[in-house]
Amino acid sequence: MSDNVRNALVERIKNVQAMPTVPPTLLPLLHMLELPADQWDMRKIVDLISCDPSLAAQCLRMANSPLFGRSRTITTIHAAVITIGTGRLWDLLTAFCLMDLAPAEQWLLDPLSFWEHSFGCALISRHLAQIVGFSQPDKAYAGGLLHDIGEMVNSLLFPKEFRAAADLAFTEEISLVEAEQYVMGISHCEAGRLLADHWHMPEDLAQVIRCHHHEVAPTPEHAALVMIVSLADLLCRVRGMDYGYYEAVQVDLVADPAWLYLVREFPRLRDVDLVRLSHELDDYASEAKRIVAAVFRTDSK
Amino acid sequence: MNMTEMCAESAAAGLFGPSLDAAVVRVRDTLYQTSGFFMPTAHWPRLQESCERRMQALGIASLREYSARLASASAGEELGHLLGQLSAGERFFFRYPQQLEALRRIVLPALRLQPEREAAANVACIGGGEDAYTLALILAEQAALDGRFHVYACDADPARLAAARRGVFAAAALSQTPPHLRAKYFRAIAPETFAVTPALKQHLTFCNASLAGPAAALLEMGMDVIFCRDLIARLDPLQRRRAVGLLAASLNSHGYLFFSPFESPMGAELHHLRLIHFPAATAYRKVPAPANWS
Ligand SMILES: [Fe+2]
Ligand SMILES: [Fe+2]
Repeated sequence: MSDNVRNALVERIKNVQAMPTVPPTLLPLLHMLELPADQWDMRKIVDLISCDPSLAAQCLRMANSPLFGRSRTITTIHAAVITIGTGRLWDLLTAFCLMDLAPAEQWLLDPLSFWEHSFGCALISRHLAQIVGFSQPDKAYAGGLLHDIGEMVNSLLFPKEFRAAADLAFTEEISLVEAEQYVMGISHCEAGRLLADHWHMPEDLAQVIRCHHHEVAPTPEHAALVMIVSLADLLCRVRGMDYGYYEAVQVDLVADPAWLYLVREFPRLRDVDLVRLSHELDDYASEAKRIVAAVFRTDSK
Repeated sequence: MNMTEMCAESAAAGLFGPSLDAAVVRVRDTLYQTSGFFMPTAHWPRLQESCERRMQALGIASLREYSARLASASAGEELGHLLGQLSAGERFFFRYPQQLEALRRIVLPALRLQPEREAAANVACIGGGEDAYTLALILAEQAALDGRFHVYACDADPARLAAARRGVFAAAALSQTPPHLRAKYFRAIAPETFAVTPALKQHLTFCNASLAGPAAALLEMGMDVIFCRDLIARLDPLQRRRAVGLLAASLNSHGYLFFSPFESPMGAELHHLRLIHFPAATAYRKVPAPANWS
């Protein structure tokens, strides 16, 4: 692919009107992660939800769903928040924010596979963060959830080129990032970083989006977060949380750059039983499917 | 206002996952620690069912009591019974399909076998021969190999070897075999009974060798792929160490070793074997020996 075409694609991304607009509640939610969950101010969260009618409706629907088995109908946001609980509140609010980001018919990838991969990566990133003792496990969750957001940009802004890249990935069984590089000259990482800047996302998350396939190195202060998500992404792709096609990938975890970095920074990773970890990740695959089914209501279809 | 206290009663904890029964967790962990067999949560109903059958046989009333029994020092025999329950009745072609997909789409191309040399594969512990013929069939279908492969199927039991050598199977064993492969490599010889074609059979040798006992022949041959599925969890720790050592030694450099998806070489030295992940499957690959390795 010539530089001209690549530059034309980058220009198209920079064209502000064409970019998906940031969901109004997403940034405040991302900023909540600067504090640990037990210090969140519930009144502020209730206000935040109340200001977003779509989010408020989703919260009430979820709190009244049979999943929570409440005997009375929940009618206030406050009660809905208590019902959902801190353990899952942030995860669900963010999911609700993202689900309407792009209409399903505009997706070139299967949106359910995409979100199962993203939620799987979020759950595993948090799990890895907890294993190694990274100080912000919820940040790792957010990084996992958003790491591939550039796929959405490519899907919406360059449907023709991205279709060709996806077809190449499917037929050659190679990774999407390789196929994008080959066909478009711009990967979802680069496209995602432009979106992150456009949305004024926190820099650490923007670096996760840009660097999770090691195309460019993260800055030292954000490297741990990036490597956790990068490793989680790899694990997702080999534990049934893929993009809905067979990627002929073989992963020697202990030789992966993200693993090597994390072992150096967090020596306790060395003691992890990899066999057991792999099996435990399968539970996250089931959980990611359940989250996506609950949020996207595929179970009721 | 502190949210943690407010939400302590929330039902969310059990929202997205099954609640984990502590006694089942203990059984699973004991099983794993002693045999390397790890039962993922999705398969717990089967684990629970198998435990219940064993409890009935032993006259034990609670799962808690059974898990304590399993964890006791003298539980070797009981572990064997439980593992027998867990893997009972699983004899058919194309078992564990994700491993086979990885073999076909990733492992065989990655081996980059030289045209002048035959690919060698080994099936340790053959059961009824289903794994050995499945492996042969996949190798036969690999255009790049052009028929240059041989499968050595080993077992310690002469009766099992004789049965596997005959290559006659009930239709049920072929239920997961793609129809075009069934048509190409099997002949119906009686109602609901199929025989492997001689053309495929010529690629197999059945040999009397056991991983738990002496098996020097295995070491000499140098294997590119080894299938050892549903065996090592049933060995005692010493036997397992020996078996894994033997398998590792008989693998060629860069060769792959497959256990069944729930098994692992618990407690064994890995001898330059590295755990490799494929989509929804794992195997062990032998990394090249350092120069001073003998
Ligand atoms: Fe990615
Ligand atoms: Fe990804």
